[in-house]
Formats: sequence, C-alpha cells, structure tokens
Amino acid sequence: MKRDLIADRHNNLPIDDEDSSAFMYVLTSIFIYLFVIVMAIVMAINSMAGNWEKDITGSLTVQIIPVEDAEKHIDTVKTLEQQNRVLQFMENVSGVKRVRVLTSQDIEKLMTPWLGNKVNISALPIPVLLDVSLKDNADINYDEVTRGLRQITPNASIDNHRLWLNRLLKFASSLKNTALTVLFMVAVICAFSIYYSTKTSLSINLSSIEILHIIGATDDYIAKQYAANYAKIGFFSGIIGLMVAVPCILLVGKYGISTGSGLINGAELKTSSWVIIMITPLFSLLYSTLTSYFTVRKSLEKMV
Amino acid sequence: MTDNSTNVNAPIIDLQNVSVGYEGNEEVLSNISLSLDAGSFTFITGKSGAGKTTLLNMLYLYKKPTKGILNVFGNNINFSNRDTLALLRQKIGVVFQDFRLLENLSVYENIALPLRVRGMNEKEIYRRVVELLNWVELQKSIYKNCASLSGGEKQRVAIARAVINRPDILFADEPTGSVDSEIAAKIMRLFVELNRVGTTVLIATHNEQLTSSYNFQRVNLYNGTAKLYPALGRI
Repeated sequence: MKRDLIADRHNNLPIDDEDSSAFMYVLTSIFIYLFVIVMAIVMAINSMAGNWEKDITGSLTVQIIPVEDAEKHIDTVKTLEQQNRVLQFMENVSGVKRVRVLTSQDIEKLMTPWLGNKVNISALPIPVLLDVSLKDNADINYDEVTRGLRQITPNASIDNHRLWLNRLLKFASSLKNTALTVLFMVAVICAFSIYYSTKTSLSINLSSIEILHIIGATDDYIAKQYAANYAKIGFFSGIIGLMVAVPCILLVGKYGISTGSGLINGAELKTSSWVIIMITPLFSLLYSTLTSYFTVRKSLEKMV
Repeated sequence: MTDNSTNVNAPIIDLQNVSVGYEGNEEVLSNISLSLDAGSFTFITGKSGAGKTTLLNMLYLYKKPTKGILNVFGNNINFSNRDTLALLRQKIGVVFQDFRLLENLSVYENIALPLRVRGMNEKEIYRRVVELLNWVELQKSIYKNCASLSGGEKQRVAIARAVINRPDILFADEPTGSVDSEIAAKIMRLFVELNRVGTTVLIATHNEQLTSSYNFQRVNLYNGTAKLYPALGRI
C-alpha cells in the first residue's frame, strides 16, 4: 500500500483521468502518422533527386541520326563514317574524359523498359548513341560543341542531361517544399492542439492549482506535472503513429520498386532516414513535453 | 526586498496603509495598518462580510493589496517575484473554511502535498503523515479518497495538511465552524500547542464564544477598517 501511495507522487492533479487525454492520444497519433508519412516523402524525394544527380552529372549523350539512301534504307557505311568523325571530335573536346559508342545490346537494354521484350528493336531506326564521360568539374561550352557537331553532320546533336535534369530537379524541389510545408503545418497544428488541451485542463483544474499555489507549489512544479502527462501522450502516440505509418511506407516502397522505373527506384529510404523515422516517438515526446510545459508556465504567470 | 530569509527584527506580518478590493467593486478593506509579531496568537473577528477572508487571502499571499505595503517575513509582497512568493508560502499553513482538499487524492496524498512541493524524500513524508494521521485520529482513513469523508474528517485532514510542514505562520478561516464542540476544543488545543512552539497563529472567526474563551489579541474588522485589541486576560 505504501508503494501505491508513492507511485502517484508526481500526479497531484487529475490530468490523466480526463477524457481530453484520451482525445489527445488519438489526435497526436494521427499527427505523428501524418508527420512520419510526409517526412518519409521528403526524405525519399531527397534521395531520388540525389540519385538522379549522381547518375547523370559528369556525362552527356551525343546522338547521330543514321544516314538513309534514296530508298530510305540506312546507309551503314556513311553512318559509320559520321560516327567515327563525331567520336574523334568529341574525344578532342576539352573536359571530356572518355567517349563510348553504345552497342545495340546497350540500346536494347535502355529501350526494353519502355517498349517491352516483344519489339524487335534492331528493326527500328534507332540513332547511334555516344556516351560521353566528363572530367570532374568539366566546364563544357555546349553551344560551341553543338556548332562543331553541326559542322561535321547536321544529323548529330547533343543531349545535355543537365537541361531535363534541372526540370526534374525543379519539380522534385517543388514537391519537397510542398511536403515540408505540410510537415510544418502538422507540427504547428499539433502544437496548437496541445496548447488548447493544456489550457482547457488548466481551467478545469483551476481550483486545485490554486490550492497547490497556496501550499507553496512553484509554477515549475505544476508545469512539470502537465509536462509528465504530455510526455506520456507524446511518446505512446508517437509509437502508435509510427506503427501505422511504417507499414504504409513499406507498402508504397514495394509498389514503387515493382514499377521497375529507374526514376522511382531512386526514391529509396537510406538507413539514416529510417533511423530518423524510428526516433519520431522521442521527438514527439520532447515536442509535446515542451509545448505543454511552456503553455502552463505562460498561463500561470497571469495568476497571483 | 525579495530576500527569502526572515528578518528577525521585523514583525512577521506588517501592513502599512493597505487597501484591498475586488476588480470593479469598492474596497473591502481600506487603509489598514497592522503589525503582528512572530509567535503571536491573533483572532481576526468581525461580522460576516467584514473582510476577514479577504484579509486572510492577502496575508497568505493569495491576493495582493491594491494599495499600501504588505510585508510578510520581511518581504514586500508587491515586489516579490512568483518563485519568492512560492517559497514564502511554503512557510505558511492555511486551513480553509471550505477545507479545499484535492478530492481526487487520498487522505495521505492531501496531507503529503506541502512536503512534496518542498521536495522532501518519500520516507520522511510517509513518517510524518502517519504520525500526524494518528494525532488527528484518521489513521484508518489513510487510503480513503477525500471525497468520501465527512465534514469533520475533511476538517481534520485540512488541518493536518496545514501543519505538516511545521509552518512559521498558520492561518485558519473559521476552523471550528463545521465541527462539534469536542473536536473544536481539540482543534483549538492544537493551535495553542503550535503557538507555544513558536508558530504565529491567526484565526478568522465570528464565533465570539471562541474568542472570549482564550486570552489572545484580537483584530476586529468593521466598515473596512481594522482595530487591534491586545490580550487583556480571560473574560
């Protein structure tokens, strides 16, 4: 019995008996669920954009439209001649490390995700592709290279990955910013919920708080009781929200991988991202504890 | 002025031209000057509505004066910050007319509260609470919820809570109002006993039979003013 009495020593106010506590458990769990999902989206977009950049930075592609004869058949001799001249030209461009002509197998591998296995790719008028690797920090004058290529043949053109990559990165960045805004909103709404719930509880327990003050309790003593209650709510709601969010993330990830798209495959969550996701309940604990503590401190300042 | 230590040369309670009222209303007490020495026993008397409870509210630092200077333990209350006020309140015990127990807590928890807020260790709290519960004859009710107690039992719990931290000043608002004469006599014996060991006691009452039975000074409130009548001996 003595132990039972001592077990409750930090809880002089009937804070955790209130229905509002149950409501806060549900509400905070939902907030944490949303928070984790949106945070995972932000980190996946980051990872995806990083992968795009890593894959494409330091390379460019030159494509040469095959030369056709009068009967619209590919003139392999002339095409090969153009290919060699372009190859030689590109190898002499300052900043270029290596130039490689993609084999028909390479091209087939690239096209299969888009056209499937059933199409005979070799029968298609696929351009000759040159994969150009650039030196680190190479400063290529793309306009000059394009002009040089045009002088060799009008059939050659440069595909600067940076141009479309920038568009993709912009798109990814706008998605990330939107997700971050949602993340911020969830955090703010969560703080407001804790604030108003704490204020309501303070009003309900006003007479008890007055008694605690009269017997010498400091604001810190009372605020710590609320903080302890909200620490519990924050932590357990964090666990619940996380337990619901993680399967959702795994499921979305599984469907993403099953698309076989290289673009989406890059949106994987790294180990560090999973660590951040897994410590969300601790963040939730800290966030709700501090919010309730300072709400109480601020409110009590207005009392005698 | 916010020094926490008691100034031994100053009166324990000192009011200089103090007025107090409630927002939007007339002053309940106006221009009161009063000094009470440490170790004194004082009755605060006056008819219902004379301002006894308002004066006590101010003296146990629940209400600040609207005018004048109030010094308690040598601290000017108007210039004391919240933490200083909390520390001063820890040296004060209060018995409320309506008990003001935390009804969600047990008898033990209620009595232990003043010691908990002072951060005392649980073993010492338990020892003191059990000792005091034996004295107020409520040892069998230690685990009972306060909401289930009778008026007399609540009064005894309220008194136990007020004295558990061995306060320097004890305020009691109509402490014998809801108990029978036998318990009333016992409560008064406790207050006298506490006063003998150095506690300054102030009891607000309109019970003239009670005040006339004891040879203590009396502050009478009338029309918002206060007049001190020294102890003259048993009437």
